[in-house]
Amino acid sequence: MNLVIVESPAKAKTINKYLGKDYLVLASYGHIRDLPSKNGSVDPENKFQMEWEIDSFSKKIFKRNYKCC
Amino acid sequence: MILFPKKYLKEITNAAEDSDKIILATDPDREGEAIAWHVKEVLEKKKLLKDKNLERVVFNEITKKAILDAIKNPRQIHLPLVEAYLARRALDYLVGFNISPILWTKLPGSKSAGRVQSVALKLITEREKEIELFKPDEYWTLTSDFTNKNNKNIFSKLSLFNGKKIEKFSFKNKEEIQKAVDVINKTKFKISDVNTKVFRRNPLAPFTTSTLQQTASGRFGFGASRTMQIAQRLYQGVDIEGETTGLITYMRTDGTNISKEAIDNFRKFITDDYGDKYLPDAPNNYTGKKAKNAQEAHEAIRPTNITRKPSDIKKYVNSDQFKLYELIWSRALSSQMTPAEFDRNTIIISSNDNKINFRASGSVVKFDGFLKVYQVQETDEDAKNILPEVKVGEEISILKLNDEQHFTDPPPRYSEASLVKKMEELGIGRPSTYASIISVLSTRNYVELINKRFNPTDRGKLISAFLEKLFSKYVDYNFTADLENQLDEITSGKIEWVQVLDNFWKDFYENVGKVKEKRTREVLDLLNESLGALIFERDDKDAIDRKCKLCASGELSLKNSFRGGAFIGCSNYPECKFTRPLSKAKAAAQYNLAEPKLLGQNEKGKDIFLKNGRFGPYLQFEKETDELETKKKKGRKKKNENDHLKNVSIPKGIDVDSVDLDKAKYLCSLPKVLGQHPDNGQDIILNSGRFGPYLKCENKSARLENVEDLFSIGINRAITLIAEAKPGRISSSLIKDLGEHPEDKKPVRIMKGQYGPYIKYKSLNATIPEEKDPNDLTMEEALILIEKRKEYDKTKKKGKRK
Repeated sequence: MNLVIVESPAKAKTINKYLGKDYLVLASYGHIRDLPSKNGSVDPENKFQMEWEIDSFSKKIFKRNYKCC
Repeated sequence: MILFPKKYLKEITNAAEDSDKIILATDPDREGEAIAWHVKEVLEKKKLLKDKNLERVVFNEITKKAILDAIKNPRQIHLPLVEAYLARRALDYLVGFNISPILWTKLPGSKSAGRVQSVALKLITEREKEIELFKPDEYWTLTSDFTNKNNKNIFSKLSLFNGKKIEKFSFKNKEEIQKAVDVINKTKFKISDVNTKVFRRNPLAPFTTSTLQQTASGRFGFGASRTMQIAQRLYQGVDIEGETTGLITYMRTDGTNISKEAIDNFRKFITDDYGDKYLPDAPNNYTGKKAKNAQEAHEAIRPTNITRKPSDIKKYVNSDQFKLYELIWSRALSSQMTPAEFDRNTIIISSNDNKINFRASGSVVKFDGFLKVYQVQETDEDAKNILPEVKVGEEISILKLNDEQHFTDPPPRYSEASLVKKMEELGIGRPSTYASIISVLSTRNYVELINKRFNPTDRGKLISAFLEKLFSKYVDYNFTADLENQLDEITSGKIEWVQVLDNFWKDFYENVGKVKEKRTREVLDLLNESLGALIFERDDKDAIDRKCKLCASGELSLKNSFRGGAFIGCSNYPECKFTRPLSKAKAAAQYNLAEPKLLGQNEKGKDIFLKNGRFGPYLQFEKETDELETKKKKGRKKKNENDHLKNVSIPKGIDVDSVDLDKAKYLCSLPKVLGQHPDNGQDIILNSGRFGPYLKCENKSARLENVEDLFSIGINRAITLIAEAKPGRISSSLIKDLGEHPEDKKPVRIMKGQYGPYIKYKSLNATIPEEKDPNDLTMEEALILIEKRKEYDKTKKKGKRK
């Protein structure tokens, strides 16, 4: 089996149709990781090492939802 | 902490475990390369890549052939592209993360300063400064209608006077032009030259991201983000007879070349459908911006299949998609057609001593060439001037001399399209970023779109002045363009990304440190100085005058309040309580309207006053007594001394000075029935609301793009606008309609709510994170947020049961 990754579900569906059964096309839903907007995500002292977080975008929503409920 | 994307990531990691080969097929640009790299990194960390083949494939269009070709030609992730992405992310992070906290403390109410957005903001505020300081110059032009013996008329312009070529400022005032008119009236004229030249007009290059955005804005009034969304849809594919078909190539590109295979198809199509006359001997070449490396050499935006005419797809797409496809199709096709040919006729009319010349010109299309498929807006005013047959030496007399007074105009404010064009010229921003730069400025309230033009807000002016004074290097056009170039050079392996960041960081860090040490007072003083004439009056000697007019001893200065933002106040506070808004124009309006202005009486003989209030200028008049009584009967409201008065606000964008009695009466008469719709007999109502003037008819409504149209719109134009509008309950809080949910075809909408923007889908409301611009949100992102919300609701229920 071959796994193909694209960014959007719409694209995934179309491409899977073109490639056939031997392929599974999945969507990453955009960037799967992001730079969290907090101190130290980029470290200029250390060759600009970057601390990525799995989709911090969604974590935020989670926090906010908790707060307002 | 539960991670929402777990579901999708889990799906990917599970599938990865069971696969022999993993193919990363994200978009063919830096962002796409970066996503591929992120996926690879995550899989590597989970140790899922052992003994597995990992490939990267790219394609420029989503068609079966392109996909299969791409799969046959895999490569590895191109690290330099990823590194350019990393460098950009790090730069944006470092700038935003270091400047924003300074802004919060020194300029309360400011949000943040993005690296490239700040430069775009500077363009807008600099233009505003030019406009505010602009002084119009007077000049005069002279044209003449001549007539010959056969009573044929020729319209011509003065081109030579007293042996001197006529230029824009040849006549600066009435006296100068009058002297010329007097001389010319006494002069005899004859035809001195008649000639015809053939000139060609070459087709335009096919679209890049920026030219597409500009043209779609000019022709259809689409904003940059709207154009990109429609284009994305055309790229990803629309449903044509059950087949999802990608209609155009990738829409984020700055290349103007077209693949050899596509050109061959274009040429065959041109011969077959238009004939050989429309086919140039060799393909037209457009040398656009050269990409720094092969991975970024993108094609121009073109249809994936040129034989798919706009009319063929009309029934499968919505009207926006059709408009954009037709535009892309005709522009791409025309770019490979022959030039249009015109006969340009010129007649020179001279005095006997040849010291005075008039010139008439007109052109006639000889061969339409590429204009057959792509119309170009005519800028040449002579184009429609058809000239009669005349002979050299023929005598000719003046029918009428027209002297006309003109004044130079200030440079126009930027529209979305002209801003993108300017950014591209300066080398700031890239195809993938133009749209988001623009929307960030609006959502942060640094600029306002009034009549489709960018006006900086007071806050925007302030931030721009702040950055200009304290971080001047980092909002410099050349510096920013050079940085973008360095990012491009990372992709070609010419420089190391860490090197680029190192060079940047050293100076920037020092700059941040220095600004942090400055006290707020010092910062405000710097701003007083730099905003100067923009916020303070000038005295008789044209010097900036900051003396307080109220106490006569204090000095005016910028001040900041946490709630209301910046304003002008007196140094003698609290003894002197003088304050006024930042912008001089607003302050003047406030003075002018300090006393209510009586405009006149309405039909019922009641006075209409123009007043200024907390929420801007408004009109006020006394209600009719019968209206009053019905109100009283309801008895819901507490009795108020102002109950007998009616207030009508003046829509934003209308010049208050221009509001006279007629306009005032008109505004007070809203909502107004313009007439009935011919289709259903329903009233078409014109009204003005929170978001400006709009039309309403049954369940459809349409906004008037230009506020001034409110006064001039007639029933015909109203019917057109209503016809173009989408049906549905217009809610004042709708930000954007994303279309149908792919699963159940129910609408997915972005709404503005009390607690900020959210996504509405059926009965579900999903919050949009603060840092995300709701205008930029795509259907994909919305679907993720919806899924996350569902999952969250589930976990919450479970929690309750326990």
